[in-house]
Amino acid sequence: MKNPVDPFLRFPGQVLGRVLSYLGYQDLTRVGLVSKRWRRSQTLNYTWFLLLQSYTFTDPAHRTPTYAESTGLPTWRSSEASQDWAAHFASIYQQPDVPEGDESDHDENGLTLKEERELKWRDENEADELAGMDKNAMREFYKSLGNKKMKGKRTKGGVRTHEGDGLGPPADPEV
Amino acid sequence: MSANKVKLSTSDQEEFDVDRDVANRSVLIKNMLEDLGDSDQAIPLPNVSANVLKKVLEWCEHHKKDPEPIAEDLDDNRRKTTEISDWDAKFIQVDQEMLFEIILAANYLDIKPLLDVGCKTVANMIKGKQPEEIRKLFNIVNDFTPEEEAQIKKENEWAEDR
Repeated sequence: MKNPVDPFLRFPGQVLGRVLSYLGYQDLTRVGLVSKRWRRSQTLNYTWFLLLQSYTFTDPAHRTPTYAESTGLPTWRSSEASQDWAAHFASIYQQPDVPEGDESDHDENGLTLKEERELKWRDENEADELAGMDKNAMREFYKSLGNKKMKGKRTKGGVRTHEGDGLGPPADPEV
Repeated sequence: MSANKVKLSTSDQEEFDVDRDVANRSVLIKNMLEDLGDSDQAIPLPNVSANVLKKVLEWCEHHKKDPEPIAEDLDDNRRKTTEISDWDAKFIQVDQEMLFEIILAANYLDIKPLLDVGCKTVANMIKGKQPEEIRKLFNIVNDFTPEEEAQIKKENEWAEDR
């Protein structure tokens, strides 16, 4: 054998996959810089695929089993195998709404990244809506609605035209 | 031959008399013994040489009383840890060629905990190293052109920044 201590030459895929499964994204990017053979490796690509899943899928039970968890053979579709998962991971990871640095898919509050993002979006939305309105102004605003939903929105959509259209009771006739 | 001894025969025709509970750490041998029933025949291990088997049996001997490995944990945080017990860490302090042989033997003999010790050790060798250091470690020739290397480094910046 040409190089008995090259793990990519020496180890079968499921053994190499086990080794790579212990590495984080930073080490994996460096592994991809070692040589052309290492960079081309489908086992490395599969490791990226699994790593991305571990960041994006909430429930481990719905993920593709890793080398350590299954019989050791990759289980992915050919359409998935032909993609560059290191590049996918990089592009998704670089999106600004993903919290930094955390190797785990749960943050210190025990939330997944997705839940964390949704919380952030909700906070942002609320902040936008409430901007410039204090509590009293909000109360006045709701009073002005007279406990009704916005009515008289004739210029916009959602106006009842005839009964039985499945959209609930018809609008007040006097409006 | 005593009922609780097993005979193993290596690729280089050496024979080992091993306690059955030691040999049973290997799922491959365990299954073979169950299939064979009581037999004096040596079990051939054509993929393992005597010096590697000796080392593997040393591990099996020390771990013969370990409880049956439970189904592997799905939890990523536990899977990700590369911690190795003190005894195992000392055991696996061998040259790289032997380390690779032990890993391959553990894979062939189906000794998952030993396979994990070996794979974690290799992962720990790679961890935190720059590509050039990894090349040196595994005797790899850099076959990228300087331009290619610079391009990939640029693509990898996102991971190095954090």
